[in-house]
Amino acid sequence: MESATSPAIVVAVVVVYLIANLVVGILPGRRVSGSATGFVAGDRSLGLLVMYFITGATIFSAFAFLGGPGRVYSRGAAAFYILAYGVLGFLPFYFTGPRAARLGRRYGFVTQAEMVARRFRLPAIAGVMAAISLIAFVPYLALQIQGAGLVVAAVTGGRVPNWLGGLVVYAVVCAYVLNSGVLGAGWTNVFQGLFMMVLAWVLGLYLPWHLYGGVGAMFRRLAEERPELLTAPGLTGSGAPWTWGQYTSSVFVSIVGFSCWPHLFMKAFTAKRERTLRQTVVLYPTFQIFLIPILLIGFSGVLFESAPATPNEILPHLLMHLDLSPVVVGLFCAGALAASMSSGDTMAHATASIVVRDGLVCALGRRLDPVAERRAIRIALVLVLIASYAVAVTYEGSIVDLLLYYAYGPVVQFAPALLATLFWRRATGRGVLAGMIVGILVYLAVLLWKSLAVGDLHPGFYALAANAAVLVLVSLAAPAVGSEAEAEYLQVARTPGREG
Amino acid sequence: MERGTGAARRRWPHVALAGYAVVCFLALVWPVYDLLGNRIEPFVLGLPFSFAWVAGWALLTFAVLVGYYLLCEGRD
Repeated sequence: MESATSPAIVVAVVVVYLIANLVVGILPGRRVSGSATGFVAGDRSLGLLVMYFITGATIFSAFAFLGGPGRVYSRGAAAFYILAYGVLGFLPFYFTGPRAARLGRRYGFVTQAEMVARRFRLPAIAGVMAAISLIAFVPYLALQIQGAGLVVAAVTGGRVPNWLGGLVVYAVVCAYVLNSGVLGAGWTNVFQGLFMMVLAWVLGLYLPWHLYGGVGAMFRRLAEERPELLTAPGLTGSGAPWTWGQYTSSVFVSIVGFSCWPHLFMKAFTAKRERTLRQTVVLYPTFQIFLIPILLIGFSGVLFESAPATPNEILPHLLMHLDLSPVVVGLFCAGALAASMSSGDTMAHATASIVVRDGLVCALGRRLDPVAERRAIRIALVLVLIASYAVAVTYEGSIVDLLLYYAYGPVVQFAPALLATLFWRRATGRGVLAGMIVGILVYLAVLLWKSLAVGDLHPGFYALAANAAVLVLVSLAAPAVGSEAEAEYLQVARTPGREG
Repeated sequence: MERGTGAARRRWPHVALAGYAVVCFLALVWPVYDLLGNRIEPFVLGLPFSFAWVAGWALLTFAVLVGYYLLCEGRD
């Protein structure tokens, strides 16, 4: 690959940035004890600023930086769904978050599944939730690994292939998570988030200006030459028109699924005050504004003189083929890499903890002492990363589809269970369990055999409908209202905590 | 915080927020988005109208949530 930008300086900037990031990330980690509770307790005092950027970091991952521009580049307005779902995606957490926080304080929950299983005294629920979490997180992690591989391949001018770049970066992630926990905690995220916001705007405005003379000029040219990209629902990956059914159901499934993500939901158990949770939700739509420049970057590549090998690579492709300062290119690539790593380590850590705590300990009833539990989490971490890497190197579609179809389809199956647990007196454990099992089976069936579905909607949508219906029907079929303990549980959820 | 007094006891902010969420969702998907927001012109700050429409709902939602928060949580 020929580059207009000096690769040596870019690589040097990337390496220095990442080392600085590792140092900033690992130093605070050392002060907190290495145990699972230490990891959580270290987070107990999360204030608004840190919470804001931690939730924001879920947007600023490889999904946004590579998937977003890639989707705009190849499919135009089909990418608007990303902007759309984030508008309302976090809103349910305004109501579920504080309730979960009160329960977490009272009963000492660490995971989402513990919270659900505890109300209904049904450990099998935790097992099913652990299995669904695993199914959902593997593609999400695969996306981060693919993103890291793409960035490394781009900055080395293709000399390091994607599979090797992803392998090396995630070997490093695996090593430091095994040693000292996650990097993407606390202040690293604040620094990282601010840095990427500034760079996103700089590039999102600079690229259209440099290539077309401005954002308005760019869109006027696109309106003449590629108008099909500028109106929803945009195109499919092969260039045919996308359907409104897919667009609409994708927005819906993503909105409902977003606040169900275990690594995000678990923040309810770690925030200092309920008010902080609510404030984070209120501020969340401001992050959507930072997706605007990301989408502008994708549009600026549409009429570019050369095309990348795959749409996912459009941003690194543009950066390496324009006469930009190698320091800026290096910083951006390093930032994108660090975003992939700081999202990836949190997800890998969460998945491993969930598999062990909810699956092995809660559902299967294995008694593990703290040392054995830590060892089990480490083994699970390595296995999860290997599985994700295998998906990353074999999956050839778009980064956005990996999240939208393969991760959101499963994770959205938590929504009925979470709502019923926190709000619905009549819900029963059997209803919740049956709903989730039916949901995930319907999802897998529709994913594998598209012809089973009526119409052309997101597979998770059919599954969510079936899940909710089964939960309600099975719950209502039970004769009596739940136990005293359940009544007390709901009372705890309803009663606001003392804010101080 | 003065929870359970004043605004927190009123129902209308909750009803209004629920109503807004429904309207906002409909505005972002078929058919309302297609009917009202899904066209290239007029350009807004250089963006096609279809793009500015979605971004505008993000801004409006932020404003609505700030309003709701202040109404329900009160001031310190």
